[in-house]
Amino acid sequence: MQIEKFNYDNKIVRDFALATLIFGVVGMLVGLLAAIQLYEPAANLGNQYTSFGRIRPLHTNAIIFAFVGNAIFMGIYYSLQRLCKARMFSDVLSRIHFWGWQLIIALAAVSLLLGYTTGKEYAELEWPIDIMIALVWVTFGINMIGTIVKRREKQMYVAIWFYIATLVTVAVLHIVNSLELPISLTKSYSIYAGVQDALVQWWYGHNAVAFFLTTPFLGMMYYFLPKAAGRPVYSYKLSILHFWSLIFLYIWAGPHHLLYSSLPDWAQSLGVAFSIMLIAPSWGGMVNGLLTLRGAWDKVRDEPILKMFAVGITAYGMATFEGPLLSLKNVNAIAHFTDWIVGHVHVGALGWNGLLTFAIIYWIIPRIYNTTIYSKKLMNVHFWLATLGIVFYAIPMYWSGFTQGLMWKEFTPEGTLQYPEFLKITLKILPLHMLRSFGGALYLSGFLVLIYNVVKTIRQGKLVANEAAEAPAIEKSMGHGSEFWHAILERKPITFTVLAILVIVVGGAVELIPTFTIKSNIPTIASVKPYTPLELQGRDIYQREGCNTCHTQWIRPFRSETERYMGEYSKAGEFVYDHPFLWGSKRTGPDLMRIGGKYPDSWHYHHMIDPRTMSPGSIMPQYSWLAEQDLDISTTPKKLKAMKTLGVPYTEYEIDNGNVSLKVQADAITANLKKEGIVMESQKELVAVIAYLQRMGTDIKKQTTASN
Amino acid sequence: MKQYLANVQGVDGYLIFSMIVFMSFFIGLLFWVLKADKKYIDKMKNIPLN
Repeated sequence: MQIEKFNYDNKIVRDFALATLIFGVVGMLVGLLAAIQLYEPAANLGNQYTSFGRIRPLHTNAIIFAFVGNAIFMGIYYSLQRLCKARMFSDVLSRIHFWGWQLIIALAAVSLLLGYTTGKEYAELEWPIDIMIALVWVTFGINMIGTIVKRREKQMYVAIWFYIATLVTVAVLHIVNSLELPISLTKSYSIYAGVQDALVQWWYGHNAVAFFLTTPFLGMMYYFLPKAAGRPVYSYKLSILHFWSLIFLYIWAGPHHLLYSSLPDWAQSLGVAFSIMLIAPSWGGMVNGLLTLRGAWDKVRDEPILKMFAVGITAYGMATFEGPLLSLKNVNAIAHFTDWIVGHVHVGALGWNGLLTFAIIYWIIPRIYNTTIYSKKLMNVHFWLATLGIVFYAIPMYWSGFTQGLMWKEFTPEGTLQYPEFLKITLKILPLHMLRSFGGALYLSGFLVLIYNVVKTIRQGKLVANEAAEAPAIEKSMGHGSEFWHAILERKPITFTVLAILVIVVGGAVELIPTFTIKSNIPTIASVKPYTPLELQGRDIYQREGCNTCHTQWIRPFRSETERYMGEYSKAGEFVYDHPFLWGSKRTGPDLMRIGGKYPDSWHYHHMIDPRTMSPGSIMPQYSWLAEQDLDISTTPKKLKAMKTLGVPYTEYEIDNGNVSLKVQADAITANLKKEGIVMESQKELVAVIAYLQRMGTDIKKQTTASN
Repeated sequence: MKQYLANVQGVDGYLIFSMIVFMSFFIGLLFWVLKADKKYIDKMKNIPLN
């Protein structure tokens, strides 16, 4: 047997590791700022670029795609080469992947702060960046599959299956959810509307959690945990079972984000059923991870890397038990829109993604620098800061979530709402928000300890950029007929990849296609009309400012909600012209579905200039610049035309005279304000926002009036 | 009313279809995994440690 000599590329691993450290600090700092903004409005810093609505997507994108993304690439580039006994397929592709990804992150940061957003959670980036993401992802894919094809290890170890599933599913999700019609370089409209847009978005959103935050980390767990523990994985059979079940089931579960919405009932039930079944494969992974440590618990006591794995995997188990629980309709009725969900997400992000990333960094850095870790003591300090940080983060969020969920629903014996004032409930939970930011600060301080420790380790070692290795060339014989089927599959990466795509496409297709093709799934409402040009412009500003990060447009069919928001629950037919849907997923402020006509224009004016004049104690940022900035009306005809292309029934006349009718409506609003003693020019952005707010959810009332 | 009925039937249809697809997939998988060769499994387990 011929022994081949080759080198592992450690430089690319080091580069991704450094990017992980840098963006970890950025992402966590922005998160901390956002957390402080939720009890101290002055922390919005009085300008549009740093207000909560723009900071929050920056935080989520920085953590998911910059911090966790770079950590995934670090872990995959390290483990894949070793599992394949081969250098990465192409150094050039590795570099393009690295620099391309960092460029995307930089563009994302700038564009989100400037308010360029598609309004879809975790997919906020505008279309040019979406295209770049697709290209860089394909580069990564070619590099990865190329490495697998030229491997010297005949079989593909379980970690590699998880990497393949990540690769193909993220590609499918990203493309389907990012289909947009561009208006300009910085603005586009989702090709889907309302309920359909919501379904595609949460099919994407849920599976981004599954295939960006879960499967790559399970893959890394299967490589790095046995390495760190010095023993093989507990059950390889279990890993086969839970891999296929996990990717099969996950893809169906998205609609649990839309329970009690106007999504067709069958789709909601499908989401719930598959979410509950997901416990099994998720816990399969957790059990396999934790039991790998059986008989090695003495090592766990002394080795901080193993401690981080143990707590991280336990956090995964908690989050994946809680997820199905939250998708039960009766639990969801209380938990949805509250801080409970924020707590749930952070147990996963801080516990599972964070601690595993830290453990892997501590594992990789001394090895590629041919040294030992600078300080084991500091690793322990980090472990405790991170663990306590998670506790101080999660407990206040659960407490706050229960408080909100129950107070929103509380009735007096006489049958009226116990707490009709939304703000009163918000003020009640502020101390818990303060405690949460303390938890976040603890966690961040732990991360700074890691950075210090890593920098010191790097200084005492020297990077082994090309690590020499050798392995026998792969044998050409492909076995005999009676072989285990999975063994055959594990030798054929392309067949494996195609099969994985098939498994995820089945679920996606059954879920999405009927909602798009069966007309009765979205009953239309005759009185629901397209937005006027001014309202459309106002809606785009609402989207730009990220109002939907704190305000839902989704009244659930509960008496506590129809009572509080003084109107009917949301109907599917009300959203048919909404590209994109702006339902939101969190009620930091009240729902706005029926805000139209509730207050006079002047109330909105004062409230936007300084929310605390109208609602003392409010934590909403001020939006005074909207009264200073002129509305860009040069885009009006383009926007109307694009909407028409997407199926919104604007006439040619309406499109050609868009700005004329816009001006008439704007003048009417400023005249209205003038009666209340407010002088504002009609070309200001705030006028458009007021027009949109006053229109929201009112069409359905016309129908009631007409039928009376 | 027709629409509600259609929805109810939809729930059954989609749920039953998806459950059958998953269960047959899972049972097949389980069957094959249980039949797996122990030597092969042990070899696979140890790949990262080699």
